[in-house]
Amino acid sequence: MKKNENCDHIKLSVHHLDFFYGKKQVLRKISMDIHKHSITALMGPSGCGKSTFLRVMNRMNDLIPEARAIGTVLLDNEDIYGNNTDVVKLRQRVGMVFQQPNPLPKSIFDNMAYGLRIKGIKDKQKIAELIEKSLKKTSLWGEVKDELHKSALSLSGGQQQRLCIARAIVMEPEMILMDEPCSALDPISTTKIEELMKELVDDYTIVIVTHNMQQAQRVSDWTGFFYMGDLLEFDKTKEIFHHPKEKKTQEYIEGRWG
Amino acid sequence: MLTKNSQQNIVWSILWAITILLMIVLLLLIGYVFVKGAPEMKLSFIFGPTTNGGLMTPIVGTLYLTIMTLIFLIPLSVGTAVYLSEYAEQNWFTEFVRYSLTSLAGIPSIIFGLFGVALFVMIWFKKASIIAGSLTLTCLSLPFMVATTEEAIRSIPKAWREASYGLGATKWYTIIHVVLPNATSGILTGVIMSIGRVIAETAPLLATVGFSAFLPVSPMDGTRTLALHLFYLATEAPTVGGLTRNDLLSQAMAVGTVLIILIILLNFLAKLIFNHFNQKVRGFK
Ligand SMILES: Nc1ncnc2c1ncn2[C@@H]1O[C@H](COP(=O)(O)OP(=O)(O)OP(=O)(O)O)[C@@H](O)[C@H]1O
Ligand SMILES: [Mg+2]
Repeated sequence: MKKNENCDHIKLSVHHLDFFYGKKQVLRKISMDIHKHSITALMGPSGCGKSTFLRVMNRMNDLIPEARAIGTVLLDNEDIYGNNTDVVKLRQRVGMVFQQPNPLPKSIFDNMAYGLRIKGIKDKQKIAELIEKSLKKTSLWGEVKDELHKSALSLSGGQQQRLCIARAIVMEPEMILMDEPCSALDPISTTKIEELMKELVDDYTIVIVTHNMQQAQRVSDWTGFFYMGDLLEFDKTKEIFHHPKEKKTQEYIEGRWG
Repeated sequence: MLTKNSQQNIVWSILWAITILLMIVLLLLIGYVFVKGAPEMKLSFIFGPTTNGGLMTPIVGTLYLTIMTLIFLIPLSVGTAVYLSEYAEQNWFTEFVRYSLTSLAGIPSIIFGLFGVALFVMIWFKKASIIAGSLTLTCLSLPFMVATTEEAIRSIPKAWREASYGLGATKWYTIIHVVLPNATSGILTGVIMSIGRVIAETAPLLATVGFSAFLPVSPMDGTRTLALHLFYLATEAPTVGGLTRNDLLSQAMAVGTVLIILIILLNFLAKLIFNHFNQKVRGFK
């Protein structure tokens, strides 16, 4: 887990990250390399800082006034916490699916088009095509194609989450951060999302927070295990699940708590 | 011991009785004004020139003043509310501004009238005019309007902002496309209250728009509102054309009727416009 300089296969590299909400420290000395075209799973008991860590990667925590991150986070070898980072560009490059589905109070179509319009895409035809493609990928198209102008808030929880995934994908970011994207989905949609992730990973780099061990094993290449603000263990998923080095990791995986 | 159910029934009946009572009082009041004013409700009176005792000038003046006031009021108060809730650091200064605004809301409107005369009439425009009156009313309505707008902005869920920022939106883009469209109900409440004030106030307008009976053309002209006209009818000695006190009273009631109808119409219109706007920005066609 040492800092990788000039490594072509590293998309994002976190080094010695401390994170505070006010005086309360929630992440301690986290170092982690996210490999290009890989799926990295973050696991750990509730409240250990997984969402916080995920939100560090696209500076979503900037919105919380008392939040403070100290350390380096390099995206393609550039410090995203550096002075000349364009946060708006960063969030277009590193997309996010939130823990709670958060469609905007607009129509399904306008939700999908929101980011595209920000990107400056004006061509109506192109927008419609991109939207159709993404909605098909999250298998929502069949359900909503006739009512794209209905409010996104009228969708069910699972549909909303798939809309949010589609909304992130349609932006064609380089990296996608997913915070428990399947927690509101039925098994069939979950399988579809997992297949989608595997398909997307050829072009994107994906980080996913999950409480589901099977899911982590099914989809991820790397797994990080967080415990009370520390990254206890980070390794290839196979290693973590078959030869965990830490006792806490093993206990967690065996489902003895958490 | 009463059962839970009969307790509920009692509470329910009391509330129901209060509601009905209120409705009756309201209807009586409006009904009285309407009935008393009915004999005078002739088209020639309502749309007749005010120099002949008609209501043309007060009606036009009221509408003119309402529109002018809203033109100043909406951008100013929405701007202030957006600044206070989105941009300003939350420190003693913003708290002070908020506190001042709340205190302003409790100041009698005549004080605003004095201020309007001192600043707008004597220094800026040198005469009682619609523009001076509308600026005075803007000052008067600003505190309330800022408060309702800010309240609406603050109640917008954090998740919506996050969704917007997460898609690469700037703060400004988020304000325009997420924050303001969803604050329209708060803005509308403020607008309706302000319309009510423009129509109802007399004290701050006495010296700022004057009593002119002539139809106003430019914002620099003076005029009178329906409320001012009422005031005039109620205080004027019965001299004009041999009118008796009773005649003047039923004229006043007719003005009251027009006033009530106007308020209802304007509120309805405001709602329509905002609904239309709301649907449009939310993209539901
Ligand atoms: N906005 C905030 N202000 C203050 N403390 C916060 C804030 N958000 C999170 N925390 C705290 O930071 C810690 C980590 O929270 P975080 O949401 O990252 O946990 P998590 O691992 O994602 O948990 P879960 O699995 O339940 O989603 C928790 O103790 C939480 O109480
Ligand atoms: Mg979380």
